[in-house]
Amino acid sequence: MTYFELQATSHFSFLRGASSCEELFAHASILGLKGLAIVDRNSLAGIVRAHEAAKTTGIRLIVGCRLDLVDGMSLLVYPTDRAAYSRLCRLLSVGKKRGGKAKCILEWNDVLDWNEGLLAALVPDEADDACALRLRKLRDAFRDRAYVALTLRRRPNDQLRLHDLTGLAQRLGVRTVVTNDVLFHEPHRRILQDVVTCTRQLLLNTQSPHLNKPVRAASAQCKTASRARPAAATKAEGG
Amino acid sequence: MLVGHEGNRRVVVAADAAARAAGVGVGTPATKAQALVPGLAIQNADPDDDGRALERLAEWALRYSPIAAAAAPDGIVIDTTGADHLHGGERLMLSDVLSRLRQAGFMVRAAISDTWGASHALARFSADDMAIAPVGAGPTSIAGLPVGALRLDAHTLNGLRKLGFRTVGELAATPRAPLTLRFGPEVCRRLDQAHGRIREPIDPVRTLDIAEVRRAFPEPIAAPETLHRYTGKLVTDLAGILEERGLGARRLDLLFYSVDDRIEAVRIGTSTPTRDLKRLTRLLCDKIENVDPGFGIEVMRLAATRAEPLRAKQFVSLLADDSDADVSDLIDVLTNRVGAAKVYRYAPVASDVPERATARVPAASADPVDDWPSGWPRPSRLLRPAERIETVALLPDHPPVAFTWRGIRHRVRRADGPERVFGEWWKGEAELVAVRDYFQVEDETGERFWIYRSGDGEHASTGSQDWFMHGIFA
Amino acid sequence: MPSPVIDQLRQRIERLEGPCRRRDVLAFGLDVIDRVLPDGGLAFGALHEIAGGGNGAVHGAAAALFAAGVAARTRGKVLWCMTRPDLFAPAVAQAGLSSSRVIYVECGDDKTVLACFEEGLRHKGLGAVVAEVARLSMTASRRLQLAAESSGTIGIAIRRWRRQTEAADFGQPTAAVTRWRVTALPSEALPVPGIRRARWQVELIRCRAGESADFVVEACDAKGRIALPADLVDRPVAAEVRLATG
Repeated sequence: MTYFELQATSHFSFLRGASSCEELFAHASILGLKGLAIVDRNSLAGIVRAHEAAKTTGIRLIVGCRLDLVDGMSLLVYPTDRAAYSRLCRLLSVGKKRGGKAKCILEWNDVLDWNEGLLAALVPDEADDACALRLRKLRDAFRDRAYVALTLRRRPNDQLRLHDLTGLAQRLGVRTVVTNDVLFHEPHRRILQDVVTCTRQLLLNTQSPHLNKPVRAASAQCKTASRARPAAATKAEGG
Repeated sequence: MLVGHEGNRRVVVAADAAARAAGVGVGTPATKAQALVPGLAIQNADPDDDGRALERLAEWALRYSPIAAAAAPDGIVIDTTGADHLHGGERLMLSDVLSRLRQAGFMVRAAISDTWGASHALARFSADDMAIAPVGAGPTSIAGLPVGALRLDAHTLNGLRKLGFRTVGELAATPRAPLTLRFGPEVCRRLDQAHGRIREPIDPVRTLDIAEVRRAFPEPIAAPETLHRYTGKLVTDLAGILEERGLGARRLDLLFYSVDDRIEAVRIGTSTPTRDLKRLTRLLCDKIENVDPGFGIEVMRLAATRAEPLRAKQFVSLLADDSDADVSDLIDVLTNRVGAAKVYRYAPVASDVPERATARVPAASADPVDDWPSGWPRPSRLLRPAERIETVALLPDHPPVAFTWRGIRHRVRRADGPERVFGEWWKGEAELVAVRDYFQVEDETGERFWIYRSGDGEHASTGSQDWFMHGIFA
Repeated sequence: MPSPVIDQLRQRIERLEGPCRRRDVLAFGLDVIDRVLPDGGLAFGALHEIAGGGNGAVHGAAAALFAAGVAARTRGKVLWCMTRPDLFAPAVAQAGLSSSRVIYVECGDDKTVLACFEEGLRHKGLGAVVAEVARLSMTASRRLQLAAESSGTIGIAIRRWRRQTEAADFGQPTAAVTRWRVTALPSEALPVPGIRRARWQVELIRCRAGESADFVVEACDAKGRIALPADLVDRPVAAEVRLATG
């Protein structure tokens, strides 16, 4: 079976990804993947290294980016040609200009402005009304370029969630793709991933008086949140 | 090594194992000792100072029981009747005593038995440094010990040895009249005490300046209602003293001295300092049931062996919200009944590993900040430890099709999972790669279980790949 | 149609006797159950008994959650007495009974459990008292019932035995105001792998001044409430024939 991993996050996504593009492509090669998409958060910073790694390993690079909008919606976007890639760059600069130093503030209207030539896959949570609304918006804006990404999160009753999402997608006429939301390239890197997640949580908690909580305790809590992500890319299960 | 006086000579009075190995024992003249071990450091024995130190040790021992005393020259004695269950039983309590004293730097041996005499003998002469004689087995347990184990003076002991007596058992088997004739009543008295035929009350050490009240009864009292009544009066008197000092009681010891030379004690504790008469009387009276007045009580003594400053009373509004109702008095009653270790709440521990996710905290603790994370279903009964199960027909990442637990086969009809629990890698090497995959499974009858596979199903380093039953949902 | 004469008589009697003591109750929030219980719910100031059916007679897993759900919906601290400390606190919290509310008392034997049970029931500051016991004699249950009445606290005795064979003991009468048995049932079938809310058969075996009845319910939610399974709502609930347990 040919499998392309469409959602891999490198360490260019600060405090989220734990592996470099080189490591990700090297391991993808070992697993026999034919293509790998790097989708860093609101950034194309990793693409250059990804290009090189792709050349070295002979695996096709799919250029992509994960857009995290201020209203909470997240989508994976993939430019289909050079022009679309420029548009994506422009979109990101708009966000960075608005956000200032190291922050990128993006709104749905920005996406509408710059979406031509982009494929977009919604990153959903539960198959609830909010999700249906977002999916409808996406479909109306992107038409046949709209997708929804299905990821096995390994949380309680996850199969049921995917089942409901598939049903929703079908009703709205949106196609589904399977991703693994890869955060690190091989099992042992999980420990670093725990640490960066923990750091991110602690930074989020700077306002709270619990700053002095021992790192272990915070790390255990972060694990509960991040534990759902499986290690490296594996064969798709359906969709 | 300590040197003291015996008659006119200076002799060794205390030598440790190293000294004895060098040939220096108790009784060796000081000069000889110095000759045997060049550069020997000598300290003069100070019996008075030792005596005072022993008294302080006895006061320390009050933490275990209301009745403790110094047993000169080298020991302390504690009456543990009724006190051991609050410390986890005789063995645990004794190990606790030994470990604490050892931590303080003492060389120590200890024993528990039915009588002071037998315990004294076992502590000093038994083969183990921690000896526990079963109830009623006092005489047999000391039969093999040397006659020196009985508390007799050196002259008597010499005489006994000259007559060929080696062990306590031999002495006990001998007719009494000739012994008494030859040595006086002391030998038989010590035997009787060790065997429990005559009583030997322990005079409890008194800590200076603790709040204490006592009442003597010209006519000995015995009826429970009378004991209760006077307990109430003593509590009232004691509360008065505590109030003068601005203290509240945390621990009360009530001692009953009976006409037949017995001392019984009752001890209660509270979670917060209090002078509440009703509460303290109630807690004490709950325990008086266990007190045997014998032929009558002639003195009652109530002491606040632990007291702490009591802040001004907070007046509870009659309209207080239910959820803030004070249950500390209930906690005290329950604690005094089953022991503080058995009354607790569970607080969340930030750990994914289920058997580590809860911690017992004292019942009166402040509320924890969070509860457990709510997303992951947990079984209402957890097995400690988890039990191995046999499983059938597995696909990777899937639960078994059937399993056998405690001899019963279950077919899995519905399941969810895996919930992957990683080892806590920051705890140590062993947990670096350890993994458990948990499944919630429901069998054909609807019963739900929590089972896990040790390991990820692929790599041997992550676990044994065996399956276990860890809990029951319903 | 109520007669005005009868109403007048009733009012006169009330004035003589004092207002009719309508007991406080804790409703389940499910009409089918509440209407079978006197005054529409579980009585406060009373002793109630729960046992598990089938293997639940020994492990009491569902019975514990059922009790936790009831206790969760009272206010104030909850005392839980037992001899076997195998209750897993996170599950109790998931049934709506937060860890800050529960005080556990681990006793050496049933006799001590009953003594602590009574102690807790006499205390006027608790929301509910739960105790896990095997034997519960009529005499002991009467004492507990009186203790509960004196404080107005809900008392729940979870009957739990060491061996399946001892469970026949549940046939012996006690002074409990209601007696329940909770047994696991297969849950809803799903189109994909997964497990939804557990299902229980809840039998009201005995009810003072009421009738016995059976219900099929979904297990406690995060607030301690049981519910009716959606796919069974239209079916008549008070079954004539009890499903075989075990």
